[in-house]
Amino acid sequence: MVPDSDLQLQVVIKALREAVGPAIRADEKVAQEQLHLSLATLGVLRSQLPMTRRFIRALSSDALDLAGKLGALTASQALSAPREALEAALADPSRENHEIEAARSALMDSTCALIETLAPDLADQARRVVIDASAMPIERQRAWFIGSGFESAPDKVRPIETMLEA
Amino acid sequence: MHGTLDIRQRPEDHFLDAIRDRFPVEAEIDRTLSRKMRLRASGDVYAAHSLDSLIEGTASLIRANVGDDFTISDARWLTGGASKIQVAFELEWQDGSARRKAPMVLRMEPNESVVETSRKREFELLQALDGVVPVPPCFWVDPDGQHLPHPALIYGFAQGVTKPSDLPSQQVTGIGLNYGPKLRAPITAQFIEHMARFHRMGAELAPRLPSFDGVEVGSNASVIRLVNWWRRVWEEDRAHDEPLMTVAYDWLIANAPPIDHVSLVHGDCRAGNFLFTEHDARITAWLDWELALLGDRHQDLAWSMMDPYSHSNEEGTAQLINGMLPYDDYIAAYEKASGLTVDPARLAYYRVLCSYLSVSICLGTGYRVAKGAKTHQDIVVSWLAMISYPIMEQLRGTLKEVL
Repeated sequence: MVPDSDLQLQVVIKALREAVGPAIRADEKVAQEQLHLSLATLGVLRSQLPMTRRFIRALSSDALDLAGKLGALTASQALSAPREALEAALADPSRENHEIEAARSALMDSTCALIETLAPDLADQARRVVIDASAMPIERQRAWFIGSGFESAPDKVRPIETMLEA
Repeated sequence: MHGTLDIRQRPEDHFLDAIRDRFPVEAEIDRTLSRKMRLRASGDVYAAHSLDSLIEGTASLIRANVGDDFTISDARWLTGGASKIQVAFELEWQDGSARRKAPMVLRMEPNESVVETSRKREFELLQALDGVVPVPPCFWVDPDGQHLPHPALIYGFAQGVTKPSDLPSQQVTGIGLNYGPKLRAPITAQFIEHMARFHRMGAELAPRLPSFDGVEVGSNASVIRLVNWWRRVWEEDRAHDEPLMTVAYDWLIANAPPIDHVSLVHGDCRAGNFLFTEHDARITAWLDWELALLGDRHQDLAWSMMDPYSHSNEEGTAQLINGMLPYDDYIAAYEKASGLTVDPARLAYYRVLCSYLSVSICLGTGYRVAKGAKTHQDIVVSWLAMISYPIMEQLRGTLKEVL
C-alpha cells in the first residue's frame, strides 16, 4: 500500500515542522503551543499505530481476566453475556477495532455494576481482586502513552513491545 | 464511539436527574455542573471567538460596573493553563475620583471546560484573599454570561512567570516543573508559608464566601459531598467505567474522615500554579483558585505530593516533593509554618481522593470535552488524558496500602 499510514503521518509531521511551524509568528503563543502538541500527538500516534490491534486485544484480555476472577468469586452470572460478547468479538477477524473496544467497554461497565451490588463481605474481597488485576492494564496503558512524558520515572515502565508479546 | 448511542454526549433530563439524586454536591457546584449538562444537550461545539467580539463583551461588563468613561487597548490572547479562554488588555477607567490605568485579564469559560467550575466562587474567593496571600486583584464578574458568551471575570494582570524562563521543558500545565537549585529554596519557603496561611484561615474566611457550602468540624458530610462531586463528574463525562474507580469511590465514602480544622483548600495547590519574579524569586500571585473549597488541609498537601509533580534532585539522591523538598522535610516545614499537624492516615485518604478526582478530570472530562469539540484547547485536554494512567497506578498503589 503506497502511501501507507506511516508514510502519510511522516509527511504531515514534516510539513508541520518545516513549513507551517516557521510561518507562525513567535508571539502567537497559543498557535505555537498547539502546533507543538499537534506534532507530539502525531509522533505518539505514529509509534502506536502498528501495535494498535495487539494493544486492544491485550486490554480485552485483561478485562476478561478480571471478569473471570470476579465471576468465580461471586458466583454471579451478571458478567456472562458481556464476557461472551467480547470473546466473540476477539474470535472474529472481521470485527473492527472499535467493535472490540465497544464490547470491552460494555464488559467494564457491567463489571463495575456488579461490584456495586456486592454484599460487604464479598465486596471487600472483590476490591482486592480489582486492585491486583488492575496492575497489568494500567502498566500497559502507561507504556502505551510513555511518549507523553508524564512518567516521573519512565525507566520503571516496561517497553510496550515487551508487554504485548503473546 | 462508532455509531453506538452515547447518552453522555447528548444527555437527557432523566439522565442528569438520576445523577443529581444519587450524588448530592454543594449547591453552587450542582448549579455549575447542571448548566454544563444542559448546554451539552444542545449539541453546540466550540466556535472560535474573535478577539473583537470578546472585547465587545468585556466592554459591556465594564460599562455595567463603572459607566462609559473607560478605554480598552492592546488586547491580545494569553496562553497557559488547559481550561479557560484568556485575553490580556490595558484598561484606563475612572475609579471614584481617581483616574486609573492597569493591565487586565479576561478569563472566560469555553462551552465546556476540563474542570467545570463557578466564576462566582472564584470571584468571591479572590476578593476574600486580598491581603491574605498574593492574588491577582479581581474587579468584575459575569457569573451567568450576560455580557460575554460564557461566564467570565476580569482581574488585574500580575507580573511574573510560572516557570523559570530558561527551563527547556514544554510540558503542559507545569507538570514536572524544576525550579533549579538557585530558585528552589526561596520559592519553597514562600509556597509553604502561604499555603499554611490560607489553611489556618478557613473559618475566618468562610463568612466572605457565600457561594461555598459550610463545613463543620467533627463532621464528614463535607468530605462526602466532595467525593460525590468527582463521582458525579465521572458519571457525567467518562467513556466507559473503570472497576478501580468504583472500588476507590466505595472506599472513599466508607472511610471519609471528619474535619478536624476548617481550612481554605486551594484545590490545585502545586508548583506551577503561582507567578514569581525571577530577579528576586518572589511569589507575586497565586493562580487557578477555581477548585477551591472549605475543607481539609490534607487535600492540598496530598495534591502537591502527587507523583507527577515530583522530580529527583540534582545529585540524584532524593525525590523532591512538588519539586521542592524531600518528603520528611516537606511535612516538617509545613507543620512548622502552619502550627497544624499532618496526620499520615488523612494524608493517605486524600492521596486516594486526589488520585480519584485527577482521573475523573483527565480521563473523564478530558475525554468528553475533546470528544465533543468543546474548547479552544481540545488538543491540550486530549494530551492531558494521557497522564491518567500514571495517576491510576498511584491510586491503585495507595488503595493497596490502605485496604
